[in-house]
Amino acid sequence: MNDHMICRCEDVTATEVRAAIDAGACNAQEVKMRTRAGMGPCQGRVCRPAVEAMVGVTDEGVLRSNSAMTVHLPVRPVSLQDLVIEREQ
Amino acid sequence: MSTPAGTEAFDLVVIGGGPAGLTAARDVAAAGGRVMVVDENHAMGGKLRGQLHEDPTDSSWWKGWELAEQGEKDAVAAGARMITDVVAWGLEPGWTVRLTYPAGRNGGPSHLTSRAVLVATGAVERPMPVTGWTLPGAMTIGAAQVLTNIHRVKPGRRVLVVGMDVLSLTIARAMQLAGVDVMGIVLPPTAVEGSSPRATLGRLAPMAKLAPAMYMRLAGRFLGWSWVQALASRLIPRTVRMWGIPLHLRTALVAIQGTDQVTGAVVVNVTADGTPVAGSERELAVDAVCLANGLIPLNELLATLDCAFLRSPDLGGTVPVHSDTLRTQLDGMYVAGNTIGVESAKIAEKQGALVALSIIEDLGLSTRRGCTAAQGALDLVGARRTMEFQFDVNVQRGHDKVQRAWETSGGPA
Amino acid sequence: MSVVLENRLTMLSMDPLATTEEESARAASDYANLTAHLAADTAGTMAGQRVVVVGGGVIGLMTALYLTRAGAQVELFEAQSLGAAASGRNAGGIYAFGRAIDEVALARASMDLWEDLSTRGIDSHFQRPGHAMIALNDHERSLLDLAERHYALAGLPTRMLSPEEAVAMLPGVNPDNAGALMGTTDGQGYPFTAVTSIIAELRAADAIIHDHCPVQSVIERGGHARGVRSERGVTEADHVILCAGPWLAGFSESAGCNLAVRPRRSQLMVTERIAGLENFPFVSGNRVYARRTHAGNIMVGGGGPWEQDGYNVTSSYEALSFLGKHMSELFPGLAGAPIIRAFAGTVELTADHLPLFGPAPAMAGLWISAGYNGHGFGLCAAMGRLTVDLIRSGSDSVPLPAAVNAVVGEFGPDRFNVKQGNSHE
Repeated sequence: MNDHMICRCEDVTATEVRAAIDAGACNAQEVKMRTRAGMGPCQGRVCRPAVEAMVGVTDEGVLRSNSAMTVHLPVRPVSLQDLVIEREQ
Repeated sequence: MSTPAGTEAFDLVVIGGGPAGLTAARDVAAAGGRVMVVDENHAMGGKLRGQLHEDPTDSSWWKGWELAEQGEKDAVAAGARMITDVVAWGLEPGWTVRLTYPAGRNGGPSHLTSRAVLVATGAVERPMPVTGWTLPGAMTIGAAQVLTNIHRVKPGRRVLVVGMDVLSLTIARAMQLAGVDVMGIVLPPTAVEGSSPRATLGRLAPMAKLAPAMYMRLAGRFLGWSWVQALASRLIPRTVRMWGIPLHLRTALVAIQGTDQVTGAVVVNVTADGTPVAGSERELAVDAVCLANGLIPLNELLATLDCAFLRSPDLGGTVPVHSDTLRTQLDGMYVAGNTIGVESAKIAEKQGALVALSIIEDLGLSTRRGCTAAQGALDLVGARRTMEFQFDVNVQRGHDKVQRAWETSGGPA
Repeated sequence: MSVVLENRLTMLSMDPLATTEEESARAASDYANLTAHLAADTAGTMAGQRVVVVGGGVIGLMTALYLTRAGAQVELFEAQSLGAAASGRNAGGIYAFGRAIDEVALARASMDLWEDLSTRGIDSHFQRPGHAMIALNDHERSLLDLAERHYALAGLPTRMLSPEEAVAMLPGVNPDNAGALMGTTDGQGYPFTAVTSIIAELRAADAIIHDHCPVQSVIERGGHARGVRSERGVTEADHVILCAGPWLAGFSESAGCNLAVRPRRSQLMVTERIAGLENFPFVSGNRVYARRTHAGNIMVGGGGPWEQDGYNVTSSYEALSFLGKHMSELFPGLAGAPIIRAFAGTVELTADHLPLFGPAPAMAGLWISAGYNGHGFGLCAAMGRLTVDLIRSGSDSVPLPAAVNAVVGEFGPDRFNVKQGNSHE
């Protein structure tokens, strides 16, 4: 198999993702925890479908999120200071 | 730094100023709503801005950027306000839309409060990881579209397109018109799901069945008889031509070559089921490779909320469960456009008009249009049926599945 | 406007006014005794024993690792993903500095074991960049001055930084700081690679790991734990050890004691990789803490009583705002750093903030190791290793060595059954 890049942000290759799956990672989130795929600035927006394709996603029915690979706030990078809201009162 | 909490409350904040968002903004503003549209790009219009193609139905030119400008103008004329170069990074129930600005841009409000929010964030391209896909000169088909149609820059001198779908065929044609030597279109690497010749033709062929008369007319003009014959035949020909661009129906990409930039591509012959034919690898000298692997709905903002999703290959990915009138399970949260399924700009525009009816009803705004959201939902199904091009022929099946999920488990609590 | 100077020293768990010099000196001798005890090789001491470990967080995995190294045949059950709750979603701190004085010896020993593991196949990205507690007012500075004395007596290498030295050593720190106390040997690691390589070593050693497989009940015969029941049926064992973290409470009936562990959300967030901060230590103050990951991101956290109880691991806007505000104040130089992700884990709290480590009263052969109050990642190496002593104290009637008892003696899991007024402080 070609050892091409899967996650460009964190430099995770297809070989590393495959190794994680072979070692027991059974969904995209477990691959992320073991390889860092999806942990970079784009937070998996690019690699999530590629990782899911490698793990083999077959979810049916109503899901609690749009991917097993968790989506976190902020959905785009925000500077530390811009996270701050001073509430009234 | 963050600005003090917004003093102004909106009736509707639209996230994403594409065809769906602009249409909804126009209609809700026209009904008296205070509307703000935010978009992360320099200009409104979303994917419309890159679109340039000949309309197959009447030979007119579909000039996306003109439609985008008109859409923005109409929404502004109706009273909607706009902010570009702003990124929505979170949605706080209530609703507060949290905003941030790219470095170098003057800031704006840190957040907007609103009675309703429309998520119309569109779709992104599905990556096609293959050896060399991160080299300069390798790009998604959408990037090639932006370069060609917006920036008027050739993606390369000799370009290989990988992946056959409505988008890649259209953009290959646009590049050709811009003077690019489009070497041909080949299939994705065999590891990509559904990339075999049979599966590819299986997806393209049913388009012909949608409206046979129209298709034959199109086929005659656009695609050439050989293409039609290929679809009709059980034997898949090696190559057909469209606008003179060779479509290599039984050739798949193996790898993109180059050290500092793309210098070539390795391709291989494949059987109808996508098995590589040993010994048939060969190199093509190209300086750009455009990868088309379809679009996936972008809906991360909703994924941070307590919102149900459904996976539907027919819609391009995972979409939030919503009603046929484009309401979600969350009070005051609406969806429209490609974020709920990959379709054409025309459908997105209709979804924008439909969701506006729902928002106007729910917010108790006045409208002079004698149409309810429920009627609008039926019109949308009808419009979809008569579309000449669809990203996926089964898109209505996908929407029906979402509708069943909404009715059985996804509806409002 | 008169202002009462607050103590916002995030990580100073020790009360320097209530801690005595005798206690501090004892921490040094406890550490020396424990280190001497841990030097003994455990290989083969548990040969032939079958142990079921319930829980695949870092405590369960590390426990399984040391049991396996001691020769036990281990079978581990995890209800969900391995190392995915607080085990994977923590800041990776492995430190002694700032701990209550009673915990210092154990925490130091655990750091040493982490370091030892990192030289023996466990890819933890372990390093010792130190831990700087930063004062932003005179009151905090005075507490740090007192703390310095106690930690020095406890044997921890420390160094007080003047405000100017702090600015030089801690890029981006508030120039108006009131000085910082640095524990120069404190460590940190990366939970995900540590967990992954522990799993790999366990599998290589023929330990059996079941993930996504909850244990339904502990099997008891003749007053002795004999194994567990799961969807895979009955798994026989000589010993069962419960390392279920906040999910431990569900085993109270089996254990015959009140395993009161309360789950609480703990939130963190992470910047993009930032160049030029290669020597950034673990830092804390102003109610937040931060560290640099091996990849180069700065991770920021800081919970507190304001945080929500329960298993919800979604990020809250209140926490993002809180962390953003307090970290920007502590490190104005990082205020513009882009945050790319926030995440939350579930920490396990006990009423007295001490762990639950020891035998379950209901049956022989049932053991408990949980309730680490947010210190689990740092302590897991020591607790995993000491579980070998713990189980041997039951099976071989080898009494728990004095060096071990000195550091875990207060952790008896049945202590919450004791009437009020007799609780351990």
